[in-house]
Parts: sequence; structure tokens; C-alpha cells
Amino acid sequence: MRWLVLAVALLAVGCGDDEPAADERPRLIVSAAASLTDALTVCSREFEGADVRLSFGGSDELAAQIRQGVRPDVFAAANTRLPEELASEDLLETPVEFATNELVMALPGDEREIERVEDLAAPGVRLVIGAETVPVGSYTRDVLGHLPAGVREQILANVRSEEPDVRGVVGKLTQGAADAGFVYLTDITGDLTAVELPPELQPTVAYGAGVVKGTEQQELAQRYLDGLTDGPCADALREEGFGPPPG
Amino acid sequence: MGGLAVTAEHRLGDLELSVALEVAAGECLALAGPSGAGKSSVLRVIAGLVAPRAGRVACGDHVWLDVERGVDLPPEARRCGYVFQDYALFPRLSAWQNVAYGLRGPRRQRRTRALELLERFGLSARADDRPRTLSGGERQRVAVARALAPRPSALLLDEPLSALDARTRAAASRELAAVLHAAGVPALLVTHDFQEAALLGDRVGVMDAGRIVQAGSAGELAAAPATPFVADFTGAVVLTGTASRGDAGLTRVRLDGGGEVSSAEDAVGPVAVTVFPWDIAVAPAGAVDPGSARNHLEVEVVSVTAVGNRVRVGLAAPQPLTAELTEPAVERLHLRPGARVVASWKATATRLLPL
Amino acid sequence: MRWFALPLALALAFLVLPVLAIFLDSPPGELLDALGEPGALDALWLSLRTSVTALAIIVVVGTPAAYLLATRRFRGRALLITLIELPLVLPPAVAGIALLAALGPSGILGGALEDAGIQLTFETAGVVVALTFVASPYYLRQAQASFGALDRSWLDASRTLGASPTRTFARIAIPTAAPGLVTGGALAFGRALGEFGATLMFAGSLAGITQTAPLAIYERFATDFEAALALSAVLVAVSAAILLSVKFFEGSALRHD
Repeated sequence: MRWLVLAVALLAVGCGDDEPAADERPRLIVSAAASLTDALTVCSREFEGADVRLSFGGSDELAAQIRQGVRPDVFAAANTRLPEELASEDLLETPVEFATNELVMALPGDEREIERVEDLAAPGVRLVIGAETVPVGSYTRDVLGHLPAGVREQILANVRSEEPDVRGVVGKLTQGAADAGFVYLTDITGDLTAVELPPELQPTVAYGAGVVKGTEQQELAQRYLDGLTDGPCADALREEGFGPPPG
Repeated sequence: MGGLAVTAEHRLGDLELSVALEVAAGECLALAGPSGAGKSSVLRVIAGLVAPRAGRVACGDHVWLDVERGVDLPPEARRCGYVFQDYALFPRLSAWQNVAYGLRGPRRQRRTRALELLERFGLSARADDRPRTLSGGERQRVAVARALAPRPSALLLDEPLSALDARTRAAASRELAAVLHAAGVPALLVTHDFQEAALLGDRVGVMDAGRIVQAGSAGELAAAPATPFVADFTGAVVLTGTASRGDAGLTRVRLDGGGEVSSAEDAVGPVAVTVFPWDIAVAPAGAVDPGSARNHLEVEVVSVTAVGNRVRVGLAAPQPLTAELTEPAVERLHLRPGARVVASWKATATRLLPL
Repeated sequence: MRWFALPLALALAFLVLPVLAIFLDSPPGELLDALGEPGALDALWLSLRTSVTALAIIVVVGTPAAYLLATRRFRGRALLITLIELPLVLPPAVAGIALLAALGPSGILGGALEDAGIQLTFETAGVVVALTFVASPYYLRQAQASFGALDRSWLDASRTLGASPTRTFARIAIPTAAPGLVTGGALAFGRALGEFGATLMFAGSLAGITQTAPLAIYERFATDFEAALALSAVLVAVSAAILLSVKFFEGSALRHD
């Protein structure tokens, strides 16, 4: 009998969290693109008036969750297409653009032979990119789409893995498994070398975010969203290397 | 076929095993002792399932183990048949497949030989049955047949009768005794039951705490136990005879070799008669004790042995009989080898075991 | 005793509902269509191929290993058993990291593998390695338990009847322990079929080469939920079929005893 009491007590403790006392802060749930991990994690701690819970993943995966009924309060994606789609499906309030990023070709620190994107077409190059449906993957395909067909096909033939989010691409590069990959400038770590893309190839990487419809924390969510363009989070984004919103 | 010669010294947990024994071809040595005495360990050493710290095992000219010389044949290289305590029949093989397991050669040949053996044990009808469907007695016979099939040079049996119920045990022990003699190889049997050892063994060795305390014929051990332990362990005297219905609800038993006793138990046919030495009273010849004792046998004193504060008196009826008396009683009766006396005991103290 | 029915009903509902939902959420016609799309069948075939290969390796190497562990006492046996069971409690992500640390290009054996010309990352072989790593404890544990449950006197009897330890292993131990071994194999196969994290981290994800069914489901989940459902439905059906045939085999083996 004693174990039963103990089990119930443990359950109560474990679930106790969900019942905020009168003086506890409300919770704000934010789904954000994987590339925003470092910036948002730090700045969200300083958000006043609420406990921010962050959920990072491929933007397409997060959007799919919202479509399936999983409702965060704020959604921040690595592109503008997904927030706009959700808005047209009446799942998101009108989204705003809050940051820009740059797509770069990333090479492991000791790579010597690849200097330009066209070099990726050489036989034997092991290339890792994002999957088609995840923003970093679709930006990559935009880049390749600007190349002559023959070169593009050879490069695509060298693709060895299509990762579900940008962290997977970075991971493969840092382990030394891949010779090159396409990631955001903000993802470049000390072990990687970034090769900037020539302006004619550089896609427009704009990040969009919006308040999820039906949220119970309308004011807090809006304030968080505003904070992405002007506030501690905006500053954190700048520090990580994100550009300001266009226009 | 040679005999078995074994010496072994080994430490097993708290037990210090130290034995030396020999068994001639065609002979059966029964090791009897309480559980924990190390009896099964002796068998395992001989079979090669355990390697002792020191010792030697030879069967005829074949040396199976010689620790000093670094010889240690694995079990599969020793031609040693082993009947396990719970028979250890392979559950997924049929009776004939079990028996044929140790044989080599084409399937048909093996099956033929297996069926031959099963026939001899009266189990032909059960050849294709799985062990699970066999009775205890049938399983015991399959186990013995299986051990004998590869024509082993020695036979080891671990409590071969103890898993059987009382009724089956009687017939089984008779069968087993016949099998052992027919096999013609040295046989070593272990049991916790001295009666079983007496029935099946040509010689009996009493084991305690890892050592063979005394060895000899069953009658010798009962009549002249070397220690109180042996005296306690050998306990009952075992006579053989034929039983039939008697008067007043008693059973009359005509003893082999002469003499007649009565028992309060029921039995017909060949029986083993058991009575404890301390139930036997001894009186001078000619003096008939008018007490309620029903059995009187004229016997001759063969030996007088003091064991602690008791005295075991070996008697010949002519079958060996043992009485246990106090020293003063022995003094009073002037018992010495050659004296003729009357041994008597109650019919109710006479146990019968059908054979 | 009657109140026990409630927790059971809850457990059943909780476990069965998500599985049922896979089949009920979309009309069967759409599910079948989604299956027909090329990547889906590739992923399923790859999953089956790699899981079967992993299982074969696990059984061939694992069976004698489990037998030795179960039947011999030696120093450090308990430690060895714990080590072998470790992947069982490792989260798949940790398993992925562990494999990379050992066999990845920058890993301990990475250089040696490269010299030997063995390429694991981005290759189907890498998938097999990952599956073998995460699934083997499931088999080893079960096999060890099954061999351990064997009556030692059977094994001894076999030796006294002239059979070497190898022969005893093959003719007595394996057939007698078979039901348990099959269960272990089924568990390992199911685990391999469902592996996701370690495969993704160690071998990557590329259709036809390394994108197993779970990875394909994950990719489709974001954009084509019907396709994800369809693939999931097939995986569920395959797993259920495996489970049922194991139960059937166990049952018939027990009856024939």
C-alpha cells in the first residue's frame, strides 16, 4: 500500500508544475527554426513577465505540427513562405519579417581544394545539404537552380545526405564525414570555414514570424514578436550574425 | 574391459573431497551417504564434468585423468555412461532419438540399435514419444538405455531410483540390478538410501563429508560399523525372502537360505525384509521369550563390535542379521563369535519391501 | 479484483488508439496511392534489407556469445553482461554519437577504416552498423536468458554421450532454447526496423541509400502527411505480422514439446 501512496505523491510532484500559483509567471511557447537556437535561447531568459519555453526544429516540421493542432504561441521560421502559408490557412496572424540571414558554403576547417560553388561538381566530392522541404534545403536548391544545368546535375549527384534540419548538415561537416555543405552564416562554428556565395547566387533569406491564432497569451505573444525586431532578442540576433529585417 | 580406479582430491565450497576407490568390471560399487557428502561430485569427477585439484581416473588401460601428468580428457572423450538424477532426457527428442544420441553412423543403423535397446527395456511402444509423455519409470529406463547405447567402459548412476514412487521403485531396482550385472562394466552408483545401496551394490561405501568412511559388503557395514555415523547410517538390516498370506492377518516370509518371520505389513512374492538392529532382542538358545515378540530365529554370533557406548552384534541366520545391544546386555549373555543364540523381534517392527 | 479492469482499459486505449489512428485518419485509397509514389517503396525496401542484414549479423555472432555468457562462469561476467546491454538504455541520439566517436571519420577507428577502404557514413553499410548496434542487446539479452534457463544436466548429458561442446550447442542448446531465440530475434528486428536517430546521425539520409522508412516518414511528415501515414501504416502492418508469426511459432513449438 505504501508504494501506491508514494507513486501518487511522485505523480503529483511531477504534474505540480502545470498548476501555477497566483504569483507564478505565465508560460509562452515559441516554436523557432533550428538556426535560431543560440540567439533565442539566451535572450528569451530575459523576457519579462513570462516563462518562455522554446522548441527548435526544422521550420517545415514545426509548421506541420501547427497544422496538426499542436499550438505554440509564437512561430518563427527560417523563411517567409511557411508563415505566409499558415496565415492563409488561418492558423497564424499576419506574419512579419524579423531578420535576414545568409546562405554560405561551409567547408571543414582543413579543406583545401574547394573554393567556389562550381568546384562541388568535381567527382568524389561528398556534399551534404538540407532536405528539400526544410528552408535551408530549399534555399540551397535556389542557389543550385542558378547554375548551368550540367553543373547543377553533377553537384546534385554528389549529394550524400539530405538532412531534416540545418543542425544535421553542420554535424556531418564537423565530424569530417562531408567535404562541403550549405548552411547559414550564423551556423558557422570554429571548426568550419565559410565561403560566401557570389551575389548572383545568394538567395534572399528572410525570416518570418507570427502569433499563432487562438493563443491565450495574445499580448505576451505580440510583445515577444515585437521584441524580435526591437529588443533584447533583436540584439541577440544581431550578435549571432543575423541581419536586420529588410526594409 | 578393465576396472575403474579413482583417486580424487577437490575442494567444493565448504566440502573437502578426498576419495580413493576401485571397481572391478561387472561389479557395482554403491556409494551411500547423506546429501552434501560429495557423492555426486565423485561421479562428476570420473565423468570429466569437474576437474579436481589432484587425482587420477583410469578405466582399464585408459587414463582419463592424471592431474600430475597434465592429462585431462574432456567428457566426450571418455567412454563413460552417466545416468543423471532427474534423467536429463532431451525434451525435444523422442525416446529412440534420446537413446540414439550417443551413437554414430547412418540414421537407420542408429534407430535400429536404439529400438533394440528399448525393446530390451520393454519400451518399444514408446519409441516415438517425447519424454514429457512418459511416466517416471519409463523415463528412468530410457535414461539407462541411453547411457548404455554407446557401449561405455564404465557406468555411473546418480540416485537412479530416488525420483520414482515407492511402487515403481521396487520393480525398477530389480530390473536395474539385472542390467548392471549384464552390462559387464564397472558401475558406480550413488544414493542417500542405504537400503538401495544394499540392494543394488555388490559392495557399499559409506560417504560422509567428502570421504569414504567405510567400505565393504552391506552386511559387514551393518554388523561392524567403523564409526557411530556408519552405524546410524546403515541402520536397518536387510534380509530377502518370499512372502505369502499367514494367519491372523500377518504376512509370512520364508527367508532365503532358511528361517521364517512374520510381518504386520502386507506383501506377496519376493520381498526385502528390514528391521532395525535396536529392535532385535537376543536371548540364549532354547530360552523362548514369552513376550509379544513374534519372530524368533536361531542364529549364530559372527562378530561383536563396540561402537561408542553401543555394541553391534553380527549374527548369521544364515543371512546376515545385526542386533544392537548395550554393553551390560552383551556381558550378561556372554556373546562371542560362534555362540548360538535366539534373535527375536516384533512382527510390527518388520518392514517389507516388495522386490 | 474488478477495479483492475480500469487501469487495463486505460493502458489498452492509450496504446492502441495511436496505432489505430494511423489507419483511420485517412481513407485507405489515399494511403495506397501515397505508397505508390517512388520514394516510399525504396524506403521500405531499404528498411527491410538493412534490418534483415543486421539481424543476420546479430544472430550469427550473438548466439554463440550469449551461450558462452549463459553457461560459463568466469571473472567479470556480470560486468561483461552489463556492457553488452548498454545500448539498450542508450537514447538513440547517444547511440549515434557513440558510433560516430568510434567509427566515424574523426572517430577512434576512423583512420583505420579509411585505410582499409571501408566507408560507413553515407553508405547502406553504415545503416546496417547502426541498426546492429542498437538492436543487438535485444537479442543478446533474450538469448542469454533462454540459454540460461536450459537445464545444465542436459548439456552435461550430451557431453557424456560423446558430443563436443560445439555439437552440444548445435544439437541440444539451440533447438531447446529456440522459442526464446526467435522471440529475441523478433524484438531485435522490430527495434532495427524502427531505428531513426542513430541512423540519421551516423549514416545520413539519402533516398535509396540510407533513408530508411522511419526517416522517410519523418521527411514526409512535414509536407505530405498522407504519405507519412501510409508509410507508417505499412510499418505497423509489418511489425504486427512479425509479432503474430512469432507468437504463432512459439505456440506451436510449445505444443509439439
